[in-house]
Amino acid sequence: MFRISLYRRKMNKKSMAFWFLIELIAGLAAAFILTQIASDYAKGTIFLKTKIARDLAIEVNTLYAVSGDVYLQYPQNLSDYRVEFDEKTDIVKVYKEIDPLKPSYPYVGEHIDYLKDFKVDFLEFNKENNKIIFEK
Amino acid sequence: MEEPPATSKVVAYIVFGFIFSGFCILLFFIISKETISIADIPKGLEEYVFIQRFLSSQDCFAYQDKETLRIYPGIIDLEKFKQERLEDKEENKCYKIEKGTNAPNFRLIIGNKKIQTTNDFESIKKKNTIKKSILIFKEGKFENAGLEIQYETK
Repeated sequence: MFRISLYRRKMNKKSMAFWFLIELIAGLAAAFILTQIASDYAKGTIFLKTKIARDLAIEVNTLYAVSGDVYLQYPQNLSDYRVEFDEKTDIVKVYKEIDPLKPSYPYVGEHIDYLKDFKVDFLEFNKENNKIIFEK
Repeated sequence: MEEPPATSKVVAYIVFGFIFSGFCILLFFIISKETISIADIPKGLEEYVFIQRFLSSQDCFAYQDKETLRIYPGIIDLEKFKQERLEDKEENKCYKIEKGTNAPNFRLIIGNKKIQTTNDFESIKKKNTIKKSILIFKEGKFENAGLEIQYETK
């Protein structure tokens, strides 16, 4: 502390302004890098999880809009994620093993063979007699 | 040059705290906005899918031949066109909105018969209306009719 005080005493106004400018540039650069990392993160994993959750909810809704029996395999490999269809809230959640962010999306469907928190490579929907059954 | 007093340091930390918190909130806002906009469902798709359900599902209002059990998508059985099929009841397999979810509300009108997913439909601000010409099955006969669908938009 004593050394720093002495150093500051020796500094003139020009050098102080120079260091202030350096600090300002460093601060702005750090803010820019952080924003970029956050933005990339948002476009990557969170985006994919959100997209899958919405996609699965729309698929459930679409299956009910089709009369007759339907078999459908979801084309995206879901082996990196866990999928959860919540019976109480009618919400589908997609997340990783340890994940603070669990993107979710609501669907409207009463006749589902619910599977809680499952992990599959390719999710298969099987609609028979207007009831959706998930094949593992 | 004198050392700044301790009180000014505290003030500086408080100011920094406010700026830092503001920056974090801004960052969170950017992330969530970016995510939502990229993975957005095309406008009107969700409502279209639900309307198709009302017209095509045997659990909703689609006419089903009692002998062959064949379902006729697009033809509405007026006997099935009842308020109970849109209400929050255990036996409802057509369209039951769970509390706390933001699934869109609907109101369907055929002639003077009106059914809706919520009693509070009038208070919904963002709504859209579509009208369709359909076939209805009424008292053993097929008839032409008009179906008006009002739905909540996001």
